[in-house]
Amino acid sequence: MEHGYFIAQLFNALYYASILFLISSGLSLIYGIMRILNLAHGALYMLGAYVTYTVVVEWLGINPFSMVLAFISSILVVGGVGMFIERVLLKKLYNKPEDLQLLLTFALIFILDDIVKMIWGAQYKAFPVIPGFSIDVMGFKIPVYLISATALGLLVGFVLHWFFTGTTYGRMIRAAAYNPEVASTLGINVDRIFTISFGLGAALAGLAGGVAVPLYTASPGMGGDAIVYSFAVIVIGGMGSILGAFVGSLIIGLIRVLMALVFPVFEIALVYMVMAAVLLFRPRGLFGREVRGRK
Amino acid sequence: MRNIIDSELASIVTLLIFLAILPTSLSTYGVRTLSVGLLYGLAAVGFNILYGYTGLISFGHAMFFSAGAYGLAIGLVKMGLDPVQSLLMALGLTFIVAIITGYLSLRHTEIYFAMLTLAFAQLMYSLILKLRDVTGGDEGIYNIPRLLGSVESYYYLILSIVSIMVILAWWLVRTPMGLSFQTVRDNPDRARALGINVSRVRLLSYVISAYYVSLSGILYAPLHRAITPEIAYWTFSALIVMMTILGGSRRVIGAFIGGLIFIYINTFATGFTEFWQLIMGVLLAAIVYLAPNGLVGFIEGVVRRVR
Amino acid sequence: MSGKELVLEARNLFKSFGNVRAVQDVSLKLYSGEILSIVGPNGAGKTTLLNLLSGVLPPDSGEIILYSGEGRMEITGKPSHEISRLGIGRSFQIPNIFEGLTVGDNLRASLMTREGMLGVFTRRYTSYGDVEKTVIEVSEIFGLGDRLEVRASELSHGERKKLDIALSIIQNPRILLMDEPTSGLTHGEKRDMARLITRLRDEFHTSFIVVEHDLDVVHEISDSLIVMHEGRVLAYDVPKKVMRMSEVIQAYLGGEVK
Repeated sequence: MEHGYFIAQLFNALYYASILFLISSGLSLIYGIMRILNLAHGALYMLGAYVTYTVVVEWLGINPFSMVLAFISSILVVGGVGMFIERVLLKKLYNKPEDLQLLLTFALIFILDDIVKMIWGAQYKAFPVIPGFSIDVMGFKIPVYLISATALGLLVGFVLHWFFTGTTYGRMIRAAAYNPEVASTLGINVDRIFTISFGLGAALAGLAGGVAVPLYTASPGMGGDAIVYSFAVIVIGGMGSILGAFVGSLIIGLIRVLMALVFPVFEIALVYMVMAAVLLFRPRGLFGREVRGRK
Repeated sequence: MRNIIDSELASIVTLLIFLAILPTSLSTYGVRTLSVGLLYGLAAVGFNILYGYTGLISFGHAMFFSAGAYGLAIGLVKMGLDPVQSLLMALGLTFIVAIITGYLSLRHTEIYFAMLTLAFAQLMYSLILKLRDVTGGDEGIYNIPRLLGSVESYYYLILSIVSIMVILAWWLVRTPMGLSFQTVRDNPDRARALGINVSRVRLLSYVISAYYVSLSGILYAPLHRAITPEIAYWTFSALIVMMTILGGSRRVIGAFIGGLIFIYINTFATGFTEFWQLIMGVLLAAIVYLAPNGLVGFIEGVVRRVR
Repeated sequence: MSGKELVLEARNLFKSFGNVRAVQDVSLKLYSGEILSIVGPNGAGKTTLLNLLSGVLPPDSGEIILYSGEGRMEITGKPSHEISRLGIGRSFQIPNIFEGLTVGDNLRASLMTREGMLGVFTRRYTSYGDVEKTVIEVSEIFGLGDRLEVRASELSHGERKKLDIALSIIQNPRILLMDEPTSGLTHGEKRDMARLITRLRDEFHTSFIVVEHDLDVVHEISDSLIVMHEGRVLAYDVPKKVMRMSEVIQAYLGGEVK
């Protein structure tokens, strides 16, 4: 295999990993703070993809300015939808059995899928061209977009990490996550924190969709795959850990893209085998902490 | 197991008698639809053993349905085996899938368990898609032989088997084993403190549940005569979850009724609008908020209040 | 105490959670038919100790030894369902029952775990008639005889507490570990509970380790008393002697000591 081709594929892998990381860190965040597994997370990713597609391809045309605006739109729209979901739908279920929350997010997958279909139709939406220019690496053209997207992912990762460990607000959120009752007696508005956290998690998924859509087409149901692989990321990396999401995404990104070159049938199986291995030998995931879950 | 004439058993038997008589007033198409309803009912009852009685949500039960259906179909069509051999193959395949996925998934908290079942089911779906030579890939397997002459006689075969399995479920949840399932559902820590091996109980429940759903798939293949990878896709798992909750997860008959009527709701919704997923989603959400114990649970609540 | 058989012994148990040393070098000896109470301020490590003895948590170091007709068995680190099957029962501070089942089914479930998983086919230990008899008997001892068909989620706090204990008792354990059996009960209910514990000891020869806050109850029922403070054993003797020790009084500044 030519070196250039390999490098090109490596960038594809990093790009994919970046997207997975954004989705997974959002999912992990929501779970880590609120103990809710948001099954509709993939649908939120899908929504973000459609929003970016609309802003760029249908409205403003492809240029760096519109891309940035589109990303911001995806973040705001999907984040907003997330906050709406939390405040209006999920809050009512907090004192009820956990199953019901899970089932509701499950129902949301169906609802969001069809809402997207209603607004945008069922056909695939693809970018006519990849934004930006390409640079030449050993005879292969690598779109600068891939590199910037990967860099964006990294940046977001650092910002999240810094936010939760370095800022007061971030630490407040973690306190609320660890023990909501005690936190509220300390004057922390736990309700608002939950709403914002869910919105933040959703926004990350939305951003992921925006980043993904120029290369991966938008379709209703694109959330399905996304959610399953982010589950794999979380199982491998550990729930509630941003570093875990980072490492997990990297592992899966590399496996999927590089394996697809060598042994396509095996590619999917390998992902799940790695997952199974982690489950057997380190059930908590590579960086997972003692999850304050039941049983 | 006490010698009480259980009102639930009476309801189940009544319903089954009704279902035995019903085909006389239905067309062949109606009987076919009702057959699918019975199979959905069977799958829901099986799923409910794990969900309603043992307290675990799996989003991957489609993998058992497809293990059964594909196992049988591959045996009959691709390998030219006779029905009994194909049946054994399907049951064997189910066992392997259930034991492996169960063992890996059950050692985790419920959330992880839900995630893992979904992931494993998708893995199975991908495998089915990729292994074209064995499974026919996205085209699936067709020309599955009908096992009995007519749709009507096949219906009665299905009804007999489903009746046995549903009554078996009714009995099972009242045995010491069934009670231990429920203790694990209600309070696993307390169950452990009373000597119940919670992990083993969960695995047992999982496998039994898997076999119910697998049997549903096995009977489905000759009915539908063609199977495609869709039956392994997570949306089908979702439907199983929905049916069970719709009918009511507190009772065996609840799950059964949920499966029965679901085919009609689904057919209605898909015929009514292309946005049937929205309807399904809203329906599920409505149940979550308004009637978490499903139709049967709701009725029971009303009856209790009237008394 | 001397001359009676030893049933359970704990030696030098240690347990820490991160920097918190919950249990530090705790040893105790429980004899047949003895009621051993453990008292101490909140956070003293009492519940953790109970968790160690019942197998909910493994100790960092130390041993737990069970004595029976077959000799001694080391049970350190065994999981809770195995410990339960060895005849050590456990009741909980916050009543831990099976909410979705009726009172009767709660008790049946507890009793029938002895059937094993395949008890549905083998019915080795008890016929179903015996199960019913025992369920009725035990429920009446606890005053729940007329509540058998009520779903557990609908019981009052006092009734739930009793059911929690009944779940353990119906298995006829040799040793019962109780975590605050009288918490949340009215004065009258506390007296009933105290009497119940002594009656169980007298009728079934069960040995008890009882973690308690109510010193009146402790005073009434205990044969021996351990005072814990910050994970350590402050005092361990007959109640009369312990109650007079100055360290104990200090640790209990503000507590009611007669």
